Amino acid sequence: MRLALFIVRRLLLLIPTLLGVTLITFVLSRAVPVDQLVAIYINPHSPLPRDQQIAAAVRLLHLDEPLPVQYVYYLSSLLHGDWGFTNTNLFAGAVTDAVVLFFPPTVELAIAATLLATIIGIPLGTISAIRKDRLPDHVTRVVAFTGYSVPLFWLALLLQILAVQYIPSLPIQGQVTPGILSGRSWVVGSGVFDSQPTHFLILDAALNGDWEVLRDALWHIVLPALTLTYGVLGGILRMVRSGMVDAMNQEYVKTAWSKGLPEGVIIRKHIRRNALLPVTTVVGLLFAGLLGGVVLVEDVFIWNGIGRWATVAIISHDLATILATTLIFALFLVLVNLVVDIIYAYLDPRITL
Amino acid sequence: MSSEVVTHRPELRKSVAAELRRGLRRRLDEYRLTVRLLLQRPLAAAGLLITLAYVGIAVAASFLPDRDILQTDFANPFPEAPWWWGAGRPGSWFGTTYPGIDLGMAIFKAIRIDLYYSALVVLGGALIGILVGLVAGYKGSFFDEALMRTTDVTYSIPFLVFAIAVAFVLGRDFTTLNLALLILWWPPYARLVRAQVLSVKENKFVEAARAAGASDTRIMFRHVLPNTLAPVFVQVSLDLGVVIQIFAALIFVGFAPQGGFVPELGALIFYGYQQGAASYPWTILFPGLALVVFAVGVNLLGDGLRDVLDPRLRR
Repeated sequence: MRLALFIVRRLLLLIPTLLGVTLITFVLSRAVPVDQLVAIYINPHSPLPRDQQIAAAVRLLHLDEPLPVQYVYYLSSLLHGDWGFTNTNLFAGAVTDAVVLFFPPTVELAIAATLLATIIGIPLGTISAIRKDRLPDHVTRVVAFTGYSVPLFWLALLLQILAVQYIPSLPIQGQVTPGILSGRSWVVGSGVFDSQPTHFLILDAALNGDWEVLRDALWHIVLPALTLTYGVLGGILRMVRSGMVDAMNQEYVKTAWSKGLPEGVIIRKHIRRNALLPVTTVVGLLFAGLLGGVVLVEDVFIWNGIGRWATVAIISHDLATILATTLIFALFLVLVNLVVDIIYAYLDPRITL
Repeated sequence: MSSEVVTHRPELRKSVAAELRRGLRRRLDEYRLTVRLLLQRPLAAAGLLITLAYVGIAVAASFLPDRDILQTDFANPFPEAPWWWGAGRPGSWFGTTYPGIDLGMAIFKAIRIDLYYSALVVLGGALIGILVGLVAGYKGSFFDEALMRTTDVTYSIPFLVFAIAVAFVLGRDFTTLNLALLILWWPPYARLVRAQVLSVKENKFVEAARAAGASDTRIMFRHVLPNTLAPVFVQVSLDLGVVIQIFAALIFVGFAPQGGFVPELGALIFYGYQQGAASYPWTILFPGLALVVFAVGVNLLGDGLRDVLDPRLRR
């Protein structure tokens, strides 16, 4: 019951945050000159003079109203699913249609990297804590440390260069080998594609029993996922290590040692279980952080997700897309934070709800 | 009022001057101690050294005009390897990049630009954040609430994406890019300082200052502010490494100023990438390494500062 109340309160707190985020995108959208805003409504071949067309578009978009009124119109159009139009060389059409295409690859990549970072990070952090201030610890800390200091887009390029040199069979860009999807009944399109039923290519390939595409897609996700993993591994390592070191000095751990319990049991059951609690938060936040890092990595690996859509929009001068991606990332981050808070409150009995 | 009294009484003026000198000496002693403690830690000392070396390069590079050292060679524009790479250009330590520019010199110039703009963002952000955090923490009430909600909102936006949006709207030269980053960079500092102020202002010495009749402004700046700065220094150091990367990344994804060769590390990586990363790996490797070494340096320095400035570990 108290958890339900906590969730309701957290949901209510979302309102000012979301208003703030939309206010920012609104201000940004109105900071550009009017003729840029209405550009897509102008038809050069129309018999109407340009001035009249602009005036009509201004009325249509309510640009002649006072700004607060415009903001209300803006919010209502967002709520009605009218997010404007995107016109990049990846996709032209309604933003909401584009999101359906671009979101799944990004989430797929972020999930792969989060899984990888967790699988690598928790054991490494454990070793680092157990062998504190000895060689494994130093090595792990260097890994963690450089993870913060390496620009992800640069790491992506280096990995591509290395892959070309040493593992020529490892694909360095794209989500699948070009052309492999043609003729598959469960996929629509090729470059930016839409797979059925879940839109997540890897999942759909598995669901449709298409092992060739599944293998190909998994093979393609290796490099981008590795790049992202390296970038966030440091956070997980640091958290696991400090959590375990803290836990190791607790009284109940000393008790466990003096009872003569085996080392493995103490490490797994007494120390790590308590150390993993803050890691839940970190994994959640990393997932959100990955979505930011994803922008650059997707760009280098030609991975057609939200991030690449955003970078392509920079070059295409497509404001609607830039603002839409900002909103999508922000919404997603807000939701992830919400879920993390709830999980954390659920896991830790000491948190007062 | 008090200054008038002092000027009319020379013996008092002398003692005030002596007091100021003593205060200054105490402060200098503190700085000296900080540096000595830093140098005692090998990693922190390395960090300090790297940071100073980059600052030195940046200063030196500002005295050399671009046209002297960034000579394009359109007769022979394609990148050439360094001499030790194998079949490289003799005498060139870092090779060349498109269009025939010496990569070492380009990085030399680029460090200046990157350092300058990231320092501007971080220091500017810290300055705004300190002022806002100080007032919010000290005065509380409405101002505090407004600040905390603002930082909540900025925290909920992925930094890079938002920077892209702001930079996209504002334009794409270095200064506007800088402004875009600055808009986002002060709230964490405000939050940091506010949290510090909330605990510092409960101290007895603040109460004593107020009892002695000090004004709010004086208490804030003389008594509270100096005691909140240690974590800010640490954060500035750590943030420099982050911002320099974000700056380079933004330039890399398409915010490079138009028109000609721009000596900026992200742009240098982009030029190499355009020419073909696999054929000319050094054009990507070295500018990136310049970023990594700097980031490692300020991170080491920041970690060292965190230990050294902690009053509980200091003596």
